[in-house]
Amino acid sequence: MKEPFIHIKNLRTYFHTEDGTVPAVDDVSLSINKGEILAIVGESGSGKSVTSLSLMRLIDPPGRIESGEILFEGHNLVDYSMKKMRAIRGNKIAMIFQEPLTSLNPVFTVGNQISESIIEHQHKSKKEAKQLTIEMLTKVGIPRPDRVFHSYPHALSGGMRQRVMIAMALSCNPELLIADEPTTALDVTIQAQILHLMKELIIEFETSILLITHDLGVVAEMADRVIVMYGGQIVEETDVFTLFKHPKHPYTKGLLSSTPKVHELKEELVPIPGSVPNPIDYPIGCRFADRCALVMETCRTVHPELIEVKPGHLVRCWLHERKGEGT
Amino acid sequence: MTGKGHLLEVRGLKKSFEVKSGFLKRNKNDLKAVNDVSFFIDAGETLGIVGESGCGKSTTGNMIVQLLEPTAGEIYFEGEDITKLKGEALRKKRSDIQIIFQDPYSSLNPRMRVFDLIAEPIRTHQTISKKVLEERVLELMKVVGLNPSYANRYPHEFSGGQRQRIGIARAIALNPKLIVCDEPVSALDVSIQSQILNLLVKLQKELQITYLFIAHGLPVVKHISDRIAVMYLGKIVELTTKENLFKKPMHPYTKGLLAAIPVPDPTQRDLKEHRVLIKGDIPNAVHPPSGCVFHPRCPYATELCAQEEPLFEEKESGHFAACHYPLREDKGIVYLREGNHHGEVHFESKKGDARFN
Repeated sequence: MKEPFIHIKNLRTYFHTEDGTVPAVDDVSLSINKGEILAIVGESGSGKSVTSLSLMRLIDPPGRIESGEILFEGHNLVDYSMKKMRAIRGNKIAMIFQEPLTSLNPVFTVGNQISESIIEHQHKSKKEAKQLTIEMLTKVGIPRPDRVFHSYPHALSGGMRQRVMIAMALSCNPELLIADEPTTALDVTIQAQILHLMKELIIEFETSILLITHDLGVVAEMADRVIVMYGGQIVEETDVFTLFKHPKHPYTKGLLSSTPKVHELKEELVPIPGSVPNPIDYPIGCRFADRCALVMETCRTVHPELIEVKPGHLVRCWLHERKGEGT
Repeated sequence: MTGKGHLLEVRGLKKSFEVKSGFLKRNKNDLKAVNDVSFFIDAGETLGIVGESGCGKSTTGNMIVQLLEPTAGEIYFEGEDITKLKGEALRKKRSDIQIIFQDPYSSLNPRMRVFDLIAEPIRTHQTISKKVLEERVLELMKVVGLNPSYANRYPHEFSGGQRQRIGIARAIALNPKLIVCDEPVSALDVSIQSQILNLLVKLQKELQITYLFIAHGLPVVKHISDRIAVMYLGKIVELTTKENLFKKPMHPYTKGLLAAIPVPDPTQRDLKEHRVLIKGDIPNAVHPPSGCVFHPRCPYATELCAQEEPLFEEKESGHFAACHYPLREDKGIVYLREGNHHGEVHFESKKGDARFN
C-alpha cells in the first residue's frame, strides 16, 4: 500500500516581483505514498502553500515554475497544458483551502457546485449527480443534506462550509487530497470535528492527503510523515513519531519548544529569536543561521545539503553532516 | 465579591447589539453579545478569558477599556465604578487601563513613525519636555526589544512580531495598572508567538501589571494565566485557577474544549480517539437556546437543562461554574501532566470517561 505515486523532483517556483526574485520554493523534492498523510509544516513564507499550488499548477504570474518535475502516474505535470490539467484538478487531485467561504461561489447553491464537478469529471446525468451529491453531503456529516443541497454558501456556518468543501473534493474520489490549512479558520471544537471526519473519510476513500499546516498539534494527530520547510526549502523530513521524539534540525526543535503544550502543568516556552530572513536576499549559507543557537562558521558561508542521516530521516544542517551524529 | 480589594471587579455586565434583518431590515433583534458576566481580577494576577468566536470575550475586554458602553452592569476599577465616569475623570482613569490588539497590522497608523506611535499616549496624557519624552520612548523601545535606532521607521517596515512589540510599547507607555490583551498573539507565527508571550510575562514581573488576557485557544491562555474564565455565548460557564480547570473541569463545555485541542505528541493519538467531540455548531446568538445555552451540544443535557438556566455559582472553593450537573473528577482522561514533557505519562485508563462513551 505504501508506495509513492507522486514524485516532486527539484521543484523551483520563483516569484518575479518588482523588488527582486523570491525563491518561494527552492529545490524541493518529495514523494507521497499511497494512502498516507504527508504533512508539510512551516511558518508564513516557508513555501509550504506554494509547493502545493505548484503541484496543482495553480501558480499565476509573477510566479512561475522555473524547473523541476512533478511526476504523477508516470506523467510530468509541469509539461501539461491547462486543458489537460483540468482533467486532473478536482478529479484525481482535489484541494481544500483555509477559508471555505472564498473558495465557494456565492451565487450558486452548494448542490449545484458539487454536482457540477461530478457531471464534468464522471460524465453522470444531472439526476445521478444530485443523488451522488446528497450521498456525499450525508457522508461528511451534514444534517438535512437535501435542504443544504439547495442552500447558498453564505447561509452555512464555517464548519459546515468546510464540510461542503470536503464533500466536493472527495466527490470524484481523488487519488490525492491537498488540504491547505483546512482548519485554521475554524474554532477548536469544530476543528476537532473536521480532523476526525478527514481521518474517517481517507480510510473509506483510500485517498492520500497532503496536509499543509503551521500547527504541530494538527500534525501530531494526523500525519504519517512530516516535512518541515523553512525559507523555501525542506530542512527536515521524517516519520511523525521520530519528528516529535528525535527532531534533528535546530529549527524543528525550536518549533517544538516554542509550541505551548497544553497538557503539561509546568512549561517553559523557548522562542526562536529573530524573524524569517528576507526571501529576496537569502544568505549564502544556511537560511536559518541567523536564528540558530548552534550556528558555526561553516553555516554562514556554505549552504548545507539535505542529507539522509537515517533511513527515511533527512536533515539540512551542518551539525548532521556526518551520518548519525549529534542529536 | 465586593468592589473593594480587587483591582477590577465586573458585576452583571451586559452588552446587546441591535441586529436588523428581513425585508427592508424591518425585523429588529437584540444580539446579547455579553449576557450577565461577573468576575474580578486581583492586582498582579493574570485572568485569561477563552472562548470560541462570538462568545463575547472581546466585547467584554472592550467594555473594560471603555471602548464600548455596557448596556447594563458595573465595572469597578480600584473600587470606583468607571462606567459612571465622565469627562476629565474618565480620561484620567483611561491611562490606567490599556489594551493590546490582535492585529498588529491594522491597529497601528501606517502614516506615523514608530517614535510618534509610542509617544502618542504620553503626549495625550502628560505634559513633558521634548527631551524627557524622547528618552522615555527610546527606553520603551528597548524594554520591548525593539532597536531604538528604528525610531524613525514606519510600521510597514516591521514584521508582525515587531509590530506587536510596538503595540505593547504603546500600551505600557503610561505605566498602566491593567492591560487588556485581546488575542495579542493569534495573528503571529508560532516561533514569534512565544517571543511575545515571554515578553508579556517579563513585563508583568518588572512593571507589576495586571492582565486580562483574551484568546480563543486554551494553550496560549494556559501559559500566561493564573485563573481562567471560559465563555460560551455571552456567558462565563466556568472560572477557576488554571490547575483546577485542566485537572478537574466541571463544565462539559470546558471538558470538550480540552478534548478538542490537538496534542503535539503523536504517541497520544490513540488515547485521544476515546475523547468525545462536542457535536454541532455554536448556535445563533440572536436566538440563544433556552435554559442552559450549552444544552443542545452537551452530552449530559437533561430536560432541566433545556428549561432552567443554571446559576453561575461557586461549586467548590474558588471554582465557579454554571451547570446543573457539574462533572466530578474522572481518572480516565488526563488533560494535564505534572512535570516536564520528558516525564512518564501515566494514564489510569484508556477507556476514557464512562459518561462520555
